[in-house]
Amino acid sequence: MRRTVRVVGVALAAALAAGCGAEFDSPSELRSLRVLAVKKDRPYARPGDTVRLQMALDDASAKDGRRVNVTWFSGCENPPGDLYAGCFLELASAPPGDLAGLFRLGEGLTFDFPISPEILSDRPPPLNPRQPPFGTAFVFFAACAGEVRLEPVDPKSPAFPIGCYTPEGKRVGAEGFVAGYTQVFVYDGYVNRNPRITGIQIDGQRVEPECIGEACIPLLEQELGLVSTVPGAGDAGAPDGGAPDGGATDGGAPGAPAPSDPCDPVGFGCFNVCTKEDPDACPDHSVEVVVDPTSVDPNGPLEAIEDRKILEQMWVKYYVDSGKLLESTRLLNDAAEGWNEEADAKLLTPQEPGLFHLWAVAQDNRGGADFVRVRLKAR
Amino acid sequence: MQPVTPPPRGAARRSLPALVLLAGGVLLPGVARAEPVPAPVPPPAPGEGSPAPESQPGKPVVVMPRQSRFVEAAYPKEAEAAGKEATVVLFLDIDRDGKVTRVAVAEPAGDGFDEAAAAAAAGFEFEPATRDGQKVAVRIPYRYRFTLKTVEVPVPAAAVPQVGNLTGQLRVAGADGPLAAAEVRVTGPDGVETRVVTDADGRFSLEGVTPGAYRVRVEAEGFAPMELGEEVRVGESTDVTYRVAPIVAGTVEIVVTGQRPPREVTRRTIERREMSRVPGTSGDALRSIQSLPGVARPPGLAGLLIVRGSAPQDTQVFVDGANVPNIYHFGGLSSTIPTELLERIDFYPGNFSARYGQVMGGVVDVALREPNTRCTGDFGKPTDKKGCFTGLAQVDLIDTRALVQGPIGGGWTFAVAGRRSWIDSWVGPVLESTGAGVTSAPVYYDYQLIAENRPSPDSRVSVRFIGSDDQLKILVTQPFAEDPAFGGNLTFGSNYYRGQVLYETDLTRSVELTAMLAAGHSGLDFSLGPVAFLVDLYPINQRSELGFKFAPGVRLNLGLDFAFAPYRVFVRGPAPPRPGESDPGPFSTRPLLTQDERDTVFRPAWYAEAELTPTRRARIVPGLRLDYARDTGHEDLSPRLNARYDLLGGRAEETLPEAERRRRTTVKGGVGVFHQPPQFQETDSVFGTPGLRSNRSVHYTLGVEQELSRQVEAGVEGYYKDYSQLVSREPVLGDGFAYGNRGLGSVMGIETLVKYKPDARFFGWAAYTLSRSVRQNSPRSPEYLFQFDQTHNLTVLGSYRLGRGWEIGARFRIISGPLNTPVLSAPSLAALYAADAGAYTPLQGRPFSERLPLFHQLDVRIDKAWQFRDWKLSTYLDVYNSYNNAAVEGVDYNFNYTRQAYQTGLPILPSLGVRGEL
Repeated sequence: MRRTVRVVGVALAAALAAGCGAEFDSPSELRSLRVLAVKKDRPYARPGDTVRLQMALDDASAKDGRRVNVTWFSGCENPPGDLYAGCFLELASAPPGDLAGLFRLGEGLTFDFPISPEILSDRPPPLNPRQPPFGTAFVFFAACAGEVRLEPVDPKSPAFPIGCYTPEGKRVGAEGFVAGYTQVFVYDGYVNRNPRITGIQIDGQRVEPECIGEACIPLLEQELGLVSTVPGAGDAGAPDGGAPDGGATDGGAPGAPAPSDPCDPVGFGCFNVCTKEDPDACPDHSVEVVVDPTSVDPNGPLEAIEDRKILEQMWVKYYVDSGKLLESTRLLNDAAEGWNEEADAKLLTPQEPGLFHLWAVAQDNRGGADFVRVRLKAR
Repeated sequence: MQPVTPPPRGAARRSLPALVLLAGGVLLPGVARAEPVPAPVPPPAPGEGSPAPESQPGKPVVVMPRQSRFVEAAYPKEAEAAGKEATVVLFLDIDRDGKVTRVAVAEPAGDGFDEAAAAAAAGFEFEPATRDGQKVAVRIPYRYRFTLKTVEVPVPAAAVPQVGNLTGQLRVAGADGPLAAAEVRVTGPDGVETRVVTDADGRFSLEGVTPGAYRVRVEAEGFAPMELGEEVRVGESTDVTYRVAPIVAGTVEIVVTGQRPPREVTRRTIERREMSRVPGTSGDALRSIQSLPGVARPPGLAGLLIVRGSAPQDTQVFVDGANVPNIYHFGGLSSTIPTELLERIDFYPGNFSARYGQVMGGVVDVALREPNTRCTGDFGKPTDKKGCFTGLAQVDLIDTRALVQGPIGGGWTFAVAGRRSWIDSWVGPVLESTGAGVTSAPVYYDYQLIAENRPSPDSRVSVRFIGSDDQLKILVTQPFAEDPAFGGNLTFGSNYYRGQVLYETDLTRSVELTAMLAAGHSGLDFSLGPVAFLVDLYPINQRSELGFKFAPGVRLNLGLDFAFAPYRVFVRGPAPPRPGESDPGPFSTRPLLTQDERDTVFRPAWYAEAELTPTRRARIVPGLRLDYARDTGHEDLSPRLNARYDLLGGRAEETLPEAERRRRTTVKGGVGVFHQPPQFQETDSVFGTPGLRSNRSVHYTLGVEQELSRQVEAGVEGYYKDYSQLVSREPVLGDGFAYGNRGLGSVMGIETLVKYKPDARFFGWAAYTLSRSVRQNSPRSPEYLFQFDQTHNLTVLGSYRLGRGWEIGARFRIISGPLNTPVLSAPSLAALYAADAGAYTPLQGRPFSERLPLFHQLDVRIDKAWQFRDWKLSTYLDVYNSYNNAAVEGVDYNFNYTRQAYQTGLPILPSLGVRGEL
């Protein structure tokens, strides 16, 4: 007990005593192929449910004609330690080239996969009797500007056993290949809604977004040259009926056309191009996502202690493919303190004229997500 | 240093019975009169209890030989005819039977006197000398005076003269050399004061004095005055040895050589002057430990003690035997007990006594000082008066502190101290400028109250109340992009208080009791976003020890070490990662577990230890400790054995004249078993696996200590630690993690230390450690370097008094770089995108397989003091990293781990402080 007390204090001191780090490019600047979010229609699923995943993706090289493929791998449930790396053990036993024998595969920005009905009964109940039983299902994905291949698996190596190759057989690096995972928690009786984005503001004024949530999928498919393999993908609502996402619908008309030119007429999405040599000295504008505060759920499976309420932790990340962003990760809702009113980022106007995009991705700590994209212009 | 006083209970050291002139004795020409010179009392063994003026328990009782047969020497005829008189000083070797086995002439007189005296002395017989009741052989000086003036007939031993003698020697504490030309004022029962001055050997003598109680006051330029009470008995010589402390800058220094010999292979003691002057520590005493051999450098300013390749949680800190939960504010800013209240710090890097248990690394035992009520005169000149109030106030860049000490009455003295940080006044705005909302800026305070009394020369009572509180509450509105769950409300509160009572006494001449009882509260309140950790602990610690002196050279210690603590703990968070495991992904994405538990920790322990000194050169300490932990349901038996042997010098030669003593060479070694119970989360029913056994380690140590001069000592020590039953864990299919005692490990190393012990001008040391520490999570898993392994560690430091209140010091360190776990590099993917956190998680290579660049740093400290008539002002400037070296502490990565750069540590960091003392 005393040692645990000391460890927490030491961790704090180490953080306070940290020295200087390097200045890298901000993750908010979209300069390559990037996966921004994976939205689930059921952030908390029930045994036997089918969950729809939809990916928000951005490729800075798409305008140059590069084509990106997205591949999904599902079927890993309750891995050892509930860690994603536990899934690799199963992958290691797959016959070479035969992923389909072990995983359910999918392609495109939308992917539906089933949760097994035995996912809760297949694992021992929680050791804390007051904690409800839960299961975890992992889905891996690979966004690849080329062809996805299964690599030889070494059980002793932590390397991810999926690679991305050009048609000529050359390996594609991180600039054109993003692999990752998403996790679905499974409970019997608990609901988790996604954060609900209703709009976006620039300099305090609402601007019309290009798309919100599922409405962005067909737009992205068109831009990236992807064809959806899932019937009904891109439509609002779940394909199988039921009540996905706690029953809430996202704002924004699906497929609604965005303004063709934010500067015609001149609106709050139109900026003068920055003529300063130092991009950090460019004029800044406030950008703030508008999220419905009622979409914050209590953290149902967790217990409150004494008089402390426990809510979802919710945050927003902003991204831009031109210009720069400051304070690009912001708190929306704290588990104890509640809603944070000031969640804006600072957009430094681009030094190059033209159209550019701003994304905002709102997430919570229980797997919920939503996203919005707005088209802007520097003239 | 502590002045030596006579043994407890006022037993005076007795020399040979004096042969006293009878008034009106018959003058017989040529009658040789033998006048024995009282033998100097053998000073205590190095480190043995040199008692304070009020005496300390544990000092051996020595009874000098008493002459039972005198042989009159034949007066050399030619000398007699020439009317010559002389005094011959002899050295007599007296065996355990009281027979004179060897006579040597120490101060010849010539003219046949030497031969005559030697021939007579060879026939002397004595009642043998004893030490703790056992007969011992001794060598004593003996002055044989030949006089023609008065016939002095030796009186039979049965006759009782009506006077006594008071003789003694003054020695310099610490340096242990004689103190010559010191004035000794002796006031007898009739109130008459006699003044004598010590000779070149530091000796003084008053012969033929009226028996009774005497006050002896010692005054010497540059040394602290002393005043003690002695008893002179009829027909006896009371012989005393006093160790006088040198005065350092107006402050009396207490040197710890007065302690009993260590029960451990190695005890490194940091004295008060050292602990407050090590450069780069801003005078923080506990940080000075990090400069000792065998202690690895922690990252930045973290308050971690990494001892001989052990994890930080494997080393415990005690305050006079009571465990302290939080020794640093905010994990490393400042220690919770100010340096001004510390008497000394004893550091045991391994193979420590059976009195310490449930710990595998090292032990730091901090002793609080007695309240200082010594009065000072004008301009800080020390006096021998006590009963005055003293105080100080200090301000530096981090906190302010105050201390008041003084008498209460009835023999009680007190010390009250408090400290409060004021970094909240400038850290708050800094945090707000980064976008954080500050509800409560980081603030800490601590407080101490000590009351002491010595009801008798053999007993001591001390009552303490100490406490500490750290608070921080901010709202992080810009979460970490790499793990956005680390944002939102950050609350950190850590506090404790302890009431403690210490009692030490001699129950009889051969039985000592030391008892300690402490009770209090420890609390921790930490939350960050959805993660929370609450602990409330109400510990009661009891530690008692009985020491029995069964026979000379045999002492048995029996002890009880008892911990009882009701607690409540609430945890909500993911299972924490462990060193050596691959990155589990962002906290944002991991399932949160909860535990809410109320229970009681009950961990009693019993130990027995023998201190055997079969010869004056050897010291063997076997011990056995039995620990029980109710929370794990296991008991641990820990046998230990330590030994030291003086090849040259040491206690065996303490009775020799200064010039004949050789520099001490000691070989030492030890082997012992050490157990450490699992940590709370490792046996918790939700986060861990109940029923785990204790971690186990076997320590092997072998070393040599060499005294190079009075001030300089060197040592080399090799060690090996074998770890087994280490708690480790493996992920389990469908059930989180399973912990087990499958871990293994080992540490081997060599420590070297050359130390210049503090004197009036200088102190310093050079320490080098070569070591290697490895672990395995299970017998089948690969071995990896321990997280804090540091192959090379060289530290050189010193502090020198220039005079006129100036002091300058420096510390230079060159140490192997820290270890890093690399991420995979091309062509492998470096990281996966954890979509639910919007951040990447690295794919890592072998744990701690990459060594970062070498660390080196120079810290400089300058002190200046002004002594005014009634008070003293002092300032210091302590510059950490004075040449602004960009030391590499870690590796930074870009968002997707495709680029990396070194993360550097703290830049040049000056710290300034001002203090006023009354």
